Order: sequence, then C-alpha cells, then structure tokens
Amino acid sequence: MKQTFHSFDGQEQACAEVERPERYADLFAAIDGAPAFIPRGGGLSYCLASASEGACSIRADRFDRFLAYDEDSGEVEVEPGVRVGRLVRFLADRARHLPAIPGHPSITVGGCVAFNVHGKTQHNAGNFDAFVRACSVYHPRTGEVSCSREERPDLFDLTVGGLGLTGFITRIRLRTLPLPGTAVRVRRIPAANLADAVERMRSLGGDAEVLYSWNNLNRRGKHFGAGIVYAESFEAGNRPLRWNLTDLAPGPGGGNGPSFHARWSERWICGLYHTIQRIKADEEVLSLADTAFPISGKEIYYRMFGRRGFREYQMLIPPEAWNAASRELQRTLAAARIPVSLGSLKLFSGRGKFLHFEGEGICLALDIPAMREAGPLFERLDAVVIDHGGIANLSKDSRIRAETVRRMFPGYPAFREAIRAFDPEKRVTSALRERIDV
Amino acid sequence: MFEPRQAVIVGASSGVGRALAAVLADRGCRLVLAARGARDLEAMAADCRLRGAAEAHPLGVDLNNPNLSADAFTMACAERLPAIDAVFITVGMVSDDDDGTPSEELISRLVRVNYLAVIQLAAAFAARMHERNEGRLVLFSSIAAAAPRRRNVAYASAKAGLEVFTRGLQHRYADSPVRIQVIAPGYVDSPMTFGRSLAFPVAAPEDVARKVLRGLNSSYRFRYIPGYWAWILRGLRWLPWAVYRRLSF
Repeated sequence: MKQTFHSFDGQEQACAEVERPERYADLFAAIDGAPAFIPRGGGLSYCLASASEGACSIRADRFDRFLAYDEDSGEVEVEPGVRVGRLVRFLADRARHLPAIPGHPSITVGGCVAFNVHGKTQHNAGNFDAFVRACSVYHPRTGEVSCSREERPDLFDLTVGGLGLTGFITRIRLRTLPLPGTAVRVRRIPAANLADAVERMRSLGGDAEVLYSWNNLNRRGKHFGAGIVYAESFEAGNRPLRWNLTDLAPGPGGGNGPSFHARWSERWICGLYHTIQRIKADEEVLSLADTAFPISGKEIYYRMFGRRGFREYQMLIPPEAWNAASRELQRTLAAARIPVSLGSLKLFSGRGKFLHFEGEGICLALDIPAMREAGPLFERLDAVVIDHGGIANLSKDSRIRAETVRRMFPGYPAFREAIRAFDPEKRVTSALRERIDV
Repeated sequence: MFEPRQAVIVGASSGVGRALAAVLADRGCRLVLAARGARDLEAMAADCRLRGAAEAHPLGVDLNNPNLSADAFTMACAERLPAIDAVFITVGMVSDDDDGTPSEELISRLVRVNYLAVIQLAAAFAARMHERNEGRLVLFSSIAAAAPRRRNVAYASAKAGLEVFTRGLQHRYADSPVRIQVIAPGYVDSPMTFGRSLAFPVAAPEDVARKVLRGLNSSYRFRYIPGYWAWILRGLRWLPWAVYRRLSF
C-alpha cells in the first residue's frame, strides 16, 4: 500500500510503500522483499526519518511487547514498538525508572534508540544510549545480529543514534535505575532573561533530576528569554500514580486547521502562558505520573500551528561559547521579526559521537510557525551555531542540508563512511538519509 | 459474573486473538497461546506474563496441517492448564486469489484453516468442557458469511459452514452448562484489512476483544461486533440480486 507520510512539523513529505507486519516471519519477508526499506516507529520525528519515496516503511506498531524483565538487575528487554509511556508505567510498577526519555509517551523505544534521544534529565543522566545494554538488528545482508558494547561494538555504535539505518531493530535490552519514590518536588523559579535562566539552571544542576526552562524569546532587550526554570527532584514518600497519558498521532502535528501562532497572537499567547506559570505555586509535590511527560495532554500546542505547520531548531552550544552565541541569537531573532512560539533550555553533558545530539553545553530549542521567513532565519541560525562550535538536533530539523551537517558534526565523515560500508547498496534509506547524504 | 481463569486462545499471535491474550493477561488469567510461529508465541507469552498473566504457555499449532489431531491438541492444552474454562478460536485466513477460481491447493488451505480444523478443535474442546461440566467456547466467523463476494468465495463459504456447524453444536450441548458462541467481527484493524480501502470504519482489535469478553456473560449465541454490522448485513441480505451483483465491496 502507498501512503503519504509527513514529518511531524509538517514540512517534509513522501509518498511511499508501507507494510505493517504482525509476525516475525512476515516482518523478515517484508524486509527481504523490499528493494529498500526503513523502520517506522511512532512517526513523530520532526523530520522524515522513517519514510522515503523509494523505500518501504516497515511499521513497528505490532512489535510492541515486553520480552523479559530481570527483577535483580532491573534490566528490561522490549520490542522496538513499545511506547515510552508504557515503558515508564511498566517500570514504575516495579519501582524502577529510566530517566533519559523524551517528552511524549507515544514515542517508541526503537525511535529513542535510532536517534539516541535525550530527556530533560540530560545534565545528569546523559542520552538514551547510556541505558541501552544490547540490541538485535535485522538487515537483509546480515540477517539478525545481536550487538552490545562487548559483542559487535561496531554495529552497536552505528545502531544507537544511527538514524535507523542499520536495519530493523528487533529487540532492545535496557538498564534501568531504582525509583526513589513516586513523589516529585517541582520547583518553578522565575528567570529575568536567558542569561539568568542559564545561571539558575547551573546553580540547580546538582540537586535537580529534571531541569529545563520555558523562555519567552519574543521579549526584547534585557528581558529577552524571560521565563521559568523548572527543577524537579524525587521526594521521599509515594504519591498514587494516576496515569493519564495521551496518544499523539503521526504528523503533521499541526493538523488541517488554521494557525493561531502568528505575529499578532504570539506575544499574547506567550505572555498568558508566562503569567499562568507565575501564578502557580513556586513549589509543589506531584506524582511521577503528572511529571513524567510534560507534553502529554498539551497536544493542542501543536494543533495551534494549523496546516502551515511549524519548524523547530534545537541547538547545543559549548559552555565557553554560550554567552557570545546567545547575544548573536538575540540579534538574529530581533532582526528576523518572526514570532517564537516556544523557547526552552536544558543543560547538557557528555561527549557526542557521529551525528548524536550530545555533548557538553547548553541546549536551546525554539519553535516558530512555518512562515516564509523561517527558512532564511534557520540558515542564519545554522551560521550562528557553526561559528560557535555547536550542533543542531537532526531529529528536530526537516530542512538541514548535508553541507551544514558536515560543518557542524566532526563525526559526519566517519558516520557516512561506516554506514556506507555496512549498507553499501543502501537497502535502508529515508528522506533524512537522502537529504543529509550519508 | 463469569471471568475466565484458564483460557486457550488459538490464533494468539495476531489480530483479535492477540488482543484477547493481552486483555486476559492484564486480568491475571492463565493462558495457553496457540498459533504457528514459535518466536511470535514466545514473545506473546513473555509479554502476557509481564502484563500479569499467572501463566502463559506458548503452544505451536498449524491448522493447515492435514494431520492435525484435535484430541492431541486439547490434551496438550489440558496438560498445561488442567481447568480450562474458556476457549477462543480466532483464526481466519484470506487470500487475494480467492476469487472463485482458486487452485485446488488454495481451496484446501482456506477450507482447512477456516473450517475443518476449527470444527475439529471446537468439537474436541466442547466435549472436554462437557465432561468438566463448565466452559465457554467462542468461535470466530466473519461478516463475509452473510455477504459473500467475489473476492472471498471459499473463505465466506467456509465461515458460513462454521456458523452452521456451531448451530448444530449449540443444539448438541443445549442442556449442558457449556456455552458456545459465534462472533462475526466486522472490519478489524488486522493484517486482513491493513492497506485496504474499506467502506466502513475499522474496529481496534482491543475493542473487539473487550466486547467478546463482556459477551461471555450474555446469553447470545451469535453476535456481530461492532453491533451495527447486524443492520448493515440485514440490509445487504434484503438487497435485490440485481443491485447486490453490482456492489464492489
């Protein structure tokens, strides 16, 4: 069957074959029978990472089972289609947790592996790869191969964060951490501007399990980036877990309606949100179920972009370059006069590899409505990021080109060479792969 | 209020069978999961155990095997679960070549999987339940049995045969506590319907599974799920042939 796929931001699309096998025999037959294929998880990447005109998208929906759980070690083994919402609930029932999870429960574990995603805990938990013990991958050339840091480390390195290009991941073994409790203390700390937000986050970093901010990037002058820093940490004691996780359908996230994120409205929307957040208590204790997925239940935010869709730029700037980069960013946004629907900061640690969005520094994400001026603005942002030694998150970007990626990521040539050596016939391909030419 | 405690699901690796396994596992039921693919069954059994099933036993069975022994299969189930109180036979097989001119081999396969093997298993399970003086047996027909069309000729006739057989079996055990039901699901989101352009909405297997389990406490012997299919098929049955022959659904 042919289907038109959209990236979640609504900017990239492809008409491609799709299969949704339910049994392993059908899965392997579908992969072997396709001239080219790409695994597809939740279909929630902001870029088109799981479809391509010339490839068959193999949906992982029906490979969504828990395969094993070791009570002693807390290790869990799952199929790739398991949604992180279900994983978090499963682990919470067993007093375990996995901190490096993305913001929406509908994202699949396979997708987390393919993009080596991060959560709002990156500053102390690292990226998802820190929790992947082992996985198995099926490629028509090699068959099904198990890999880990000890067994076939080359394939493991290429698979975790490999954009899904080593084949269909059939099983993933994850390590988890003991859950200190189900009560979470949430602190909301006002920040006068972007620099103040970063300072406050740095001072909180050691104490907070979860750390992120909301920033109003539409403000000018010394109030640029004024907002709220959210710091969450586990509290002794338990709170009843009443999960109310929502589903998010694959893109386009904006749907077909009109756009409410516009120049005239953004100042009011952001101002209102800021006021609501400031009215809330500075500190409160919630349950893990209320805090694990901050985007769950707020999908209307995406709907408000309407059929025009949106664009997101998520950058990671090294700490030493942050001050200069943020000043340049403020100038660039002021000159562009484009409404920014969301600005959000996180602190990052660790060392990146290949095309992973990982490393020491400050991460800033910004969403804008996909208006005509968005393209030139993002090119200027590319230049700011490159000039300051930063990188962009490829999973959030539906337009970045190969040359830009090459200039940002020192690991680009190595990844390109390794993936081409592993899959010389390009049996696994996606619109993302074609666009960034790996 | 009847709630299965030990159940067998034939066709547990896909579609409604798989959904039934998941729902029953969530309720802590003991399960025998039967289907063809060993690896799929192992995965299903592991998932069911982790969902909360007190036991989940994978049991390979190929309904297309002409040498299938229903007695041996029911015995194997009983060895794993001694007090089986519910059996669901959800299997169904369609083919794009089932257009009224299929090969002899395909006809045999369609009839064996959709009818012959199912009635053998049903008869064997019903007899065991009768001996134990309790049990629910649920068989899955199809809307195709009431509205056959040019693209499922042998399949529809096999399912219609299954309905007739079950009616006889219900009559046979009318005075027994064994209760036998036939479910005719409408379009269900499964490999049978994936990628097809359909005139009516597709039901989620989980929703169908929950309705089937709720129905275990009802006295009906036959039901369409979702229920509106009863009205659609009544309409189709009353259509004059001159109109029906022109339908392409």
